Amino acid sequence: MKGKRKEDFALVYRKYINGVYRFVYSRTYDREITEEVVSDTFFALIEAIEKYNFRSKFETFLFGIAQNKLRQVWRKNSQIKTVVLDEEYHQETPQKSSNRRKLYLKTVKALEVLPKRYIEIVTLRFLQMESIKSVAKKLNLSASNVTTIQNRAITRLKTLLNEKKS
Amino acid sequence: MRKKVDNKKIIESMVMEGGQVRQEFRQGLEQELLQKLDSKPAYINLFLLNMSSLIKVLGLALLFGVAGIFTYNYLYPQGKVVQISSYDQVVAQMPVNPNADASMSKIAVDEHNSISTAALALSFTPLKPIKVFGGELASVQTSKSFDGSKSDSMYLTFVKNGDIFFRLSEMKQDVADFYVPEEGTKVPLTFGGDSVDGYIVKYDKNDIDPISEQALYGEVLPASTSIVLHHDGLFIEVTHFGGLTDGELKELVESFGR
Repeated sequence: MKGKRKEDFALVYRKYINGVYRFVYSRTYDREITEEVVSDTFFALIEAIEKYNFRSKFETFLFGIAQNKLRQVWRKNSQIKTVVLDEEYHQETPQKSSNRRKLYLKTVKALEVLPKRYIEIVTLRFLQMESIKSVAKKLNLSASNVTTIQNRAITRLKTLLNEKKS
Repeated sequence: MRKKVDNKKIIESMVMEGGQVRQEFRQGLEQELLQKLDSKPAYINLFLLNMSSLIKVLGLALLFGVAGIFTYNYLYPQGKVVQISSYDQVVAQMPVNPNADASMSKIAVDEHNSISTAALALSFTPLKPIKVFGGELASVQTSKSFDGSKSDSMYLTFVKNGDIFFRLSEMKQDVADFYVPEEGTKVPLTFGGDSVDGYIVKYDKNDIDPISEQALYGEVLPASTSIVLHHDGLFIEVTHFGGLTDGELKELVESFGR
């Protein structure tokens, strides 16, 4: 019976871990804080799962827990940069999701023309979701240089994407 | 007219559509959660949630796992960063540094609260600041000060009338790795007797403390203007936080190379 229960939980975990992680990371841009919040969310899910009544979508229930955990971390540490929760990931429309997917594909294409170091840093920061500290260590750069190159890369991407639009 | 994309949307699209969770974290958390489940009663809701999606979930998990491992191996074929492990090793490797004067040594030791880290900071050849427009050296930091890695970069921060005035950043870098700032304006400089191209970059001003970890690791630079250049194996960036004209900033940068 215990084995079956673990198997069931593992399936839920594997289904939602990526989505919850991205949801939290897109609000913090910090891997350490994201991992803390994601861990808290799934441990809280173990306690709360039997309260789920199937009337709303399970994603709404789970991302609601994640959002509460985010707020707790922000209250605990006011130094952490906060991002306005202007839209709920789990309640977004198919249109928004489709637009974001299109922008992602164009961004990946535009990334190809940037210098190799720009590509490495953007990939590590936003696709591998690494912290600035971790990227600096891996690439043997200073943190401020990573920040500088990252900002230049995003600015360059924005220019390229807006050029293509107009 | 179509709406232009901004930085936030670009980053969000990459994170939400292409972001991959670190495998060690993913697997470690799963193990911890399953152990926690041992002390809990049976969950009927878990069973109900899973009835329809078993095959799809396993397929996706496998796909993400393979993609994550492939990408990591592709980007980092050489493995881990080497750390300097002992004080003796640091001292043995420390070169003589004529530019590190007594006041700089004292500030470095105070700053790092560790002789070995300060020694490492001073082993890096800093440019000796010449013209500082009334500013005083207040802080000697290295990448090791912040993240514990082997230091290849140094930040000298100067204050004036109690406020941050400018920062000189230096980093060992091959010239092939020097990236010309796309948004920069080229400016000819005389540096260390050579003619080199510098690039002036303007930033939006904000109130972030420029010597805080938040500024170094954050998304926003607290600077006003900086000049970036490469000379003799060094990436050099002089950033000021207000109070200097572009001409004075150029003069300041050139003075370091004399």
